[in-house]
Amino acid sequence: MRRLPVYILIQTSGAMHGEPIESIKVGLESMVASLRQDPFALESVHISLITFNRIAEQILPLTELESLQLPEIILPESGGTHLGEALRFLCERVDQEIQLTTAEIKGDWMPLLFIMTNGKPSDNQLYMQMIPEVKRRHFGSIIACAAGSKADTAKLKELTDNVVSLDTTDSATFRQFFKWVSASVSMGNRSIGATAELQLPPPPPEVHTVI
Amino acid sequence: MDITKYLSNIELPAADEIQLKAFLASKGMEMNDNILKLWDEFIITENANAGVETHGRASLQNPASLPESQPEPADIAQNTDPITPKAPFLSVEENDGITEVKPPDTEAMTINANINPDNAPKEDLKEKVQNEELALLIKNKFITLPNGKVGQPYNFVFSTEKIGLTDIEDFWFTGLDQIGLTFDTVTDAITGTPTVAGEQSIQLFLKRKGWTEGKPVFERKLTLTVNPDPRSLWQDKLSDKSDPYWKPDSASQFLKVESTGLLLKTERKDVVAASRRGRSHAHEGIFRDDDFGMDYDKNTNWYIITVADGAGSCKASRKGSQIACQTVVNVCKTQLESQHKDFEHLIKELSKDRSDVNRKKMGDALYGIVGTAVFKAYKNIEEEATKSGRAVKDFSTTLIVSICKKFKFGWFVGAFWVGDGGIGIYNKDTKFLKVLGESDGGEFAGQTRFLTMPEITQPAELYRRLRFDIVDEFTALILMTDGITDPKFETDANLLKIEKWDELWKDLSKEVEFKDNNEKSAEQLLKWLDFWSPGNHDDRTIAILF
Repeated sequence: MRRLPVYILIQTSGAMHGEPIESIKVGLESMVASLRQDPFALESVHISLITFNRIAEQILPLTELESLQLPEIILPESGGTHLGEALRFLCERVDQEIQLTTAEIKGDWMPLLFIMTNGKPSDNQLYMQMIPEVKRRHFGSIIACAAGSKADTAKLKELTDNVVSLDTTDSATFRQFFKWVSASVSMGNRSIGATAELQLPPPPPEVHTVI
Repeated sequence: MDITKYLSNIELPAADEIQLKAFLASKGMEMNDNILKLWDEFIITENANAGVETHGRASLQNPASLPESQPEPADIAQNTDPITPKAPFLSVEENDGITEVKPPDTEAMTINANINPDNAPKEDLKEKVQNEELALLIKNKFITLPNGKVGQPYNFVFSTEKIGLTDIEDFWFTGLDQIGLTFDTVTDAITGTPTVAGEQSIQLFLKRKGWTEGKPVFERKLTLTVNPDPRSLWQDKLSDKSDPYWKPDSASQFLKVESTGLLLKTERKDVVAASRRGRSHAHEGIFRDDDFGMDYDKNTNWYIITVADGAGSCKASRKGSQIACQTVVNVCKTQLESQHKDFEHLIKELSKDRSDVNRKKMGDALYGIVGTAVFKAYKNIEEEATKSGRAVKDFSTTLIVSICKKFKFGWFVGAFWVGDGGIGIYNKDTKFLKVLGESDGGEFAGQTRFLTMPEITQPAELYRRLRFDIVDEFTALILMTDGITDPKFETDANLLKIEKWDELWKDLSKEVEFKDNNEKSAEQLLKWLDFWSPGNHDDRTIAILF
């Protein structure tokens, strides 16, 4: 069975305390619940959760939707937004976990990547270095979500064309966003050209696509 | 003053609670001592006020947790200086169900150090504090139950030790029976076959070691996720008939080739094909992107068979596959009508001498027929794209074509293949297998090459994809899209394994009667296409010459 790997990077710095992280949790829960209603997703989607502050940690290894249980997300007291480090860690995981097609082994679908951050990497140099590395991993699509009114989208635009910004970090907004994420994930199971990128469904009104 | 009361009655935000938990863990002993000290003082005050029945200290809603050996009012009265009657001066405040009693004038009381008769209340207090801590621990514990699946047996042995709750004597669950599960108190196993999908609310009850009647029973709400059976989730929505590129959601065709000879009849192979919209498409009410085509020319005795798979990610690919199939059948037919004599002559030469020279001539001739047809298919798609104002890419499709004819010396089979899927000549008796080309796969699933990619119709590339051979009588020539090869062969390596073809043929033969002139085979084949394979729900198309 072919897997559709979905990597979700979540910033867990001190800035995310309170409503933002609680909203993300609620959003994740409703995303998983709605994906469970999609028969194709139920048989193919594998989710990995990576949190990052000063360090990056895979709090959920690539797990099939059927047996998936969302882990606890614990926030440190403080800690920066080391998005560069998170991407470096991500590439490491992807290299280990993604199965490419060979004559003998059936490969995975192109993985999808979702990043939830305020878009202000504190390790900017590493972040810039990692951008081409991430692109080399051939994600079916990369969606960066700049959360919060103070979020910065400029840096994220360097990584992907799909940057959406959420002005508010309440659970309703995140639920909308993750609903859209699930829709995008459902689009991942499509035959595509050897070089083509995945086409995304249009985002909901609460989610602003950054042009 | 009463810290324990504070801890158990105040609803804390989750984050604070985690911190508090950590704090308690590190400062537990120190706090216990402090609380005990405070309590000692408090007990004295309380004893001085004996006779007051309710007290806010019992926060676990459990009368038994009150000190059992609380001194009788009479005893206190004997040991304390006479004080004014208490009741009229007491102020009792009801607040959120907690009854708080304030002594009227604690200053006025004279405390006799001897009133604390033994340390029994201290023991009780210790237990109470432990209970409070356990309650908090249970409340914050990350407890999960493995997910279940509707219709599939569930079996999970729950262990409190494993989740770090060591002080538990007994536990049980409620809420399981609504979803078809039961808890076995002997084996501690949750078993059964879930009947309801969703996030199910379950209660876990726990008793501490040394529990006796009246002591607290801890409760914790848990969520048990029951996955639905994917089969029950698929919907079958009709595709939009008003769409200009609409085509039926499924199609099948049987091409009967009559036997020859009046007295001594020779059976001739028939062609059957079927194409079914994948569940993933039916679920969304979108179109079947696959297509097929076939022809048998009574004058030249040439068979033409083709299948195509429109790219799921492209908007007009169903039209692309249709144009491709129709075009190659038409062009091959016309080409063979005009060229068959020369072409067949080359085949005869090749059958006698398979020299490189003859092979080259054969390849060139096949290029002239099938190559032209493939190129024309591309051109027709391009024309449709221009006409409809779309990009050629929107019509992306794979394509497998075969032309074949039976001669006295054997079967000639020529083929062209771009994209995934597969084509092979199979003989179940001699275990002969010839796969006519190579599948185009990318690094990732679903990636392939399409006829519509500019490089494919370059002469050298097109030529490279041609195959031909002269083979002995066979069981079947099979052309199929990836909707079949993915579930039945899985990998490119398997496509070359005779065992896999044996399995496929065995599987097919269960539902399709491969006998001469069986018109029903089209319907049977279409039915067979509905087979179940987890994760494989693409359009499926298969064409068989048998």
